[in-house]
Amino acid sequence: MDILNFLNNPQNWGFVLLIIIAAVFLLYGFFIFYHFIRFGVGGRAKVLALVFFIGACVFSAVIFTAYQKIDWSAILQSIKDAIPNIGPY
Amino acid sequence: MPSRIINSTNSFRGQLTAEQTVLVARRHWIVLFGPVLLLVISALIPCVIYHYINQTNWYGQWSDLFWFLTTVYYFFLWDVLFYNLMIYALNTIVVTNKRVIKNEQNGFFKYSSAELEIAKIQDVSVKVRGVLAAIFHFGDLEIQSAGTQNKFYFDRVPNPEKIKQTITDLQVL
Repeated sequence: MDILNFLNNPQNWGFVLLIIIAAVFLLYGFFIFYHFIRFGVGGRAKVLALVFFIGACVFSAVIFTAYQKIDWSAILQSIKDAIPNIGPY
Repeated sequence: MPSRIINSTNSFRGQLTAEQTVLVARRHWIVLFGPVLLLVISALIPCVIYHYINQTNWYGQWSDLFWFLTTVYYFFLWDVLFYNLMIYALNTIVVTNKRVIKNEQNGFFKYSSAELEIAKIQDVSVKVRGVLAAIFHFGDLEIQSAGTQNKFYFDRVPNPEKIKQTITDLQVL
C-alpha cells in the first residue's frame, strides 16, 4: 500500500524518472571514465577523461535544475483533461 | 641514435623494466568524422522539434518537461561522443625499444592486446589506398614476424611511413 501511496503523488513520478536517468548515466559515465584512466596510454586519454568528467558534472547540474522547474501536477492534470476528449466510445 | 628516435615519454600498463616508449599511434582522426557528423545532426533534432511545437497552445504547459528531456538527450549525446572518443583513444599501437604492442578496445570491457618483438620482425609494409588516404596521409601498416606469431595489421594509421621507418631504425640498433 505504501508504494501505491507513493505513486499517488504526481511529484514522485518525476522523482522516479530522475532516479532511473541518474542511475543509467552514472553507470555509463563511470565506465567511460574508468576506461580512459585504466587503459589509456599517455596524457591525452587522461585529459579526455577530465573533459568528460567536467562536462558530465555541468550536464547533471543543468538536468537537475530543469527537473526542479517541472510542475508534474499540471502535466498530469492536462493528461487527465485530454483523456475524456479521446474516449469513451 | 636512440636519443633521436626515442621522443615519447608515455608510459603504459605492462611496461617492462628498462623499456622505453618510442612512439604511440592511434588511428587517423578521419575515423571520427562519421560518428561526430551523426552526433551533430542528432543534436539538431530538439531544435527542429522546438520549431514545430513552440507555436502550439499546449507548449506553455509542457515547455519545462520539453527542456528537461532536451537536456537529458544532450547528456546522452555527450556520453555517446565520449564513448566514440574512448574507442578512438584506446585503440593504439605502442612501439617501444623492445616490442610493438597493439591494443584493441572494441567496447566496454572488450579489450585485447598483442605484441611482437622488434628483433623478430621480418617485414613492415605500408598500403595507401584512395584519394582521402593520400590527401590526409594515412594508410594501412602490416608487420610480419618470424616464428609462429601472427602478423600485425593496423588500418588507417596516420603517417604509416614514419612508423615503418621508426621500426626499421629500432631493428638496426
